Amino acid sequence: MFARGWGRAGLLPALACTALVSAGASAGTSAGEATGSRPQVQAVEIKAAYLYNFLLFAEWPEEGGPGELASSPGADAAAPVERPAASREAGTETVIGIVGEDPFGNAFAEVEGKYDEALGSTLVIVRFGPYHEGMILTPCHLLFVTDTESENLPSILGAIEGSPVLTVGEEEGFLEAGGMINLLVRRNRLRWEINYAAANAAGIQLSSQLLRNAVRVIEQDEG
Amino acid sequence: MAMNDEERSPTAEGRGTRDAPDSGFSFRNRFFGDRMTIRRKLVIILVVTSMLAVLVASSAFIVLSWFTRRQALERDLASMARAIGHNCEVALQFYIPEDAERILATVEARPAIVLACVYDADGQLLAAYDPEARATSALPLEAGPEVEPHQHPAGLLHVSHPVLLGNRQIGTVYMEADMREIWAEMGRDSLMLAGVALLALIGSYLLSSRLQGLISDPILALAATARTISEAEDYSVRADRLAGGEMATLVEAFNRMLEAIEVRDGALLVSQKRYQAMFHTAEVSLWEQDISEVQRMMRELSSQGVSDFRDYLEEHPDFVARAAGQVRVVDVNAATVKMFDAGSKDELLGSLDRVFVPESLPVFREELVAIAEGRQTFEAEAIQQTLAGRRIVVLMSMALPREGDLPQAITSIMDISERKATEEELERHRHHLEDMVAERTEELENARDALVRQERLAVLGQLAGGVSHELRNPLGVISNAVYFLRSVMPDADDRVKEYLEIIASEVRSSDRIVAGLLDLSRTRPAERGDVRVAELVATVLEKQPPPDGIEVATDIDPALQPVHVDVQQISQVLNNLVTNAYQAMPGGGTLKIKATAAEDGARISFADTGCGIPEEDMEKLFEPLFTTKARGIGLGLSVSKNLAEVNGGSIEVEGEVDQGSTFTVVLPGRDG
Repeated sequence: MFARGWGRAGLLPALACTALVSAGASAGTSAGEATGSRPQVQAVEIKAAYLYNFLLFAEWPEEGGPGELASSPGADAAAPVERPAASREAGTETVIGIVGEDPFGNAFAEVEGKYDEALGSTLVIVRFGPYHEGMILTPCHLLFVTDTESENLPSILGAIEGSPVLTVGEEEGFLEAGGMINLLVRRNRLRWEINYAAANAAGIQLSSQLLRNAVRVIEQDEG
Repeated sequence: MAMNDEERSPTAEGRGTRDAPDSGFSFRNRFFGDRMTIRRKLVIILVVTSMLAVLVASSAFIVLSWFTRRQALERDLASMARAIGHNCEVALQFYIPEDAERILATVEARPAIVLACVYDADGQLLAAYDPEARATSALPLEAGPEVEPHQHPAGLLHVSHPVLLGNRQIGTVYMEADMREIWAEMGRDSLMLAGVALLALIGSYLLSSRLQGLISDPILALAATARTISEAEDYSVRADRLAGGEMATLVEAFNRMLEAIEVRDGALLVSQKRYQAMFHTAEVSLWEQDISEVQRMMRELSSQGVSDFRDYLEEHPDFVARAAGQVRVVDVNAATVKMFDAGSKDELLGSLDRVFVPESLPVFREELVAIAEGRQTFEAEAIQQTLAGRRIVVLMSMALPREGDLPQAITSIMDISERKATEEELERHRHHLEDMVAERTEELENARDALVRQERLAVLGQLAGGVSHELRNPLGVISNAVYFLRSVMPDADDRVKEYLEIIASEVRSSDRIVAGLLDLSRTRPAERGDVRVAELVATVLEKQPPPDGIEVATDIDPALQPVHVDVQQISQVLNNLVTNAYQAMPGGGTLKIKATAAEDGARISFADTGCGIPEEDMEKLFEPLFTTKARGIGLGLSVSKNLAEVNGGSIEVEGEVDQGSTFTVVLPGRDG
């Protein structure tokens, strides 16, 4: 099932469902029991799927294409936003950057480097490793900051400030630090909270459905 | 006026339609009925037509609105499915059933929607809106992007909408809606339409009741005119003219037709009068007969399979008599009244019984055959009787009506009784003439024969007279000489005396012949007197007694009246006949003399049993100088015939060879 899901170039809801089972504190959730025959899915795979899904429900400004470094944040914010699938041509790439220790293992193996129908572009995973000064993070569409980089968080966010990069984190205070989407577990399920103001400031339009299903949304810049 | 007429009896209309063979027409008749008035028909036509229009329009409207509403519902359903699908993208992609349920709950606003489901890409149910607790868990999903909404048999619409992300299907929205709303709306619409139809019905009825007059009034006026004309038979009436339009044309045509009818009616009347005049003044007897019943009988006979009518009628005289009783005399003319000895023509009207006699029936039978064979004319000679009981032979000539032709048979009858009588008379005369000619011819032949005989006798008489005269003197001299010799020689020997006797005898014989010749040459007129036949016969037999071997039998009617004849002449006749008879029986025989009364006198027959007379000799028998005897000069019978005829009698002969002959003398009585 997992292989098939990736084979179909998308993260399946079933994957997310089963991932929750292993990720949750309680192993006996209803979903898990109902689909007991399914293979155990690692929490990291769920997380990987979520990253992929965020790409589908976020829109970058026109100039924020891959391979280009956004140099004028003021202009970015005002630029029209479109869905990535529509904004990218067949030969383009959508880039997920991972800063810190890579927790995903083989989770992206099925889709990495391949053309994705839903995205309308090739999915590229860039594993930056631990952050160091001068690391160029802006070519990413989405930058996942692992919990190992909590110390460097201000630097990382500062490095991409003004660029249309969707930042995703997984620790408390990520949004307050200026991150856009923070993953967290609620009632045995992996959920997210959103700093709408930050995303907006970066020129990234997040789907209302994402907002609707967020655990918490920061509408205004708290600073 | 027109209304009253119309209500009373539209019979002309009914009759016209009944005759029409057109099936469409009769269908309309059935539909409307024969007796319905034109006004009612018009109203019905108008109301039915307008109702039909309203009905068709309403039906079209209802059907159209049903389809429109259904399409709208389908469109609604499809757009809602699309919206739900779009809104459920995150719920599907992140597997958040609560989100999907929240979204589905929004369709609650539409009561028509009874089921809404969201399935993931694998066909697993993610969330459902199922207020009526339809079996959603059991709902299979095999829907692909190509599934179109269609109506369920249960009267439900359903739609299946794929949820796409980019080109990938990430799920499916399935919805069902019932059509309760639509039906309810349709019900409201129908109610409204029924109201409209009712209004239209009332309106069209009121309107058509008033407006039908435009069409029916002129027609009814025309019909009233036509009825007036047909009832009064007054063809000078004209329908009122109208201003324009088809009815005006119709009225115009009607009036023209009336003019034509008036002209023809006049001509018909003239013709009728002419016919009546001819009929009643004709010299020939004319009859108008109604033979329709007879025709019906013959048709019936034909339908029973009778084909040879003559045979059948000959075998069934009762049928012929019955048919004769069915003929109805409708009219006869004056000549008929006269011919049939009637006092007035009423006596001849009705049945034919009074003029029919049994002999009339064979001719009537032929008439029936003519009727059965559909001939148009029939001619025959017939025997009928007048009312006075006089039988007349008539030549009848009939003009027979055929189906739908003349109403009556016209028969002309000529009395040919007189002609018939004259013909018979002529025939009789013709026969009589032939007889007369034959008689005259015979008389002429007889006269010619007599003339020939007399001429011959005259010649012979002159000759005989001359010769006799010349012979008498020498015979006298010889006789004197013999007498002298006898007297001078009384002693002569016997031989001389014998020869002298021979001479004397032969002289006497010669003298008799000479006397006969003289008798022939000069038959003196008869000096007639009454004499009894028995007396005559007895005298003759006395003079000439029968020789040996011959018997004479006499049979004389004692009541026989005396005959009126010259005794000497008739004695000579009888003498000759007896002599002939004796000579015809040289070997002996019987002579029967029989005398009977004849018409005007007596018949005396002399029947011998001799050799008879050959047939070829019979005719010449009475001619002079004809003889069958060796010795004889053939004068006896000739002289006898002469003498008998001089006395007003005759001689006949009959007989056969070897059977003897019978000579019969007929002599007149006193008055003959």
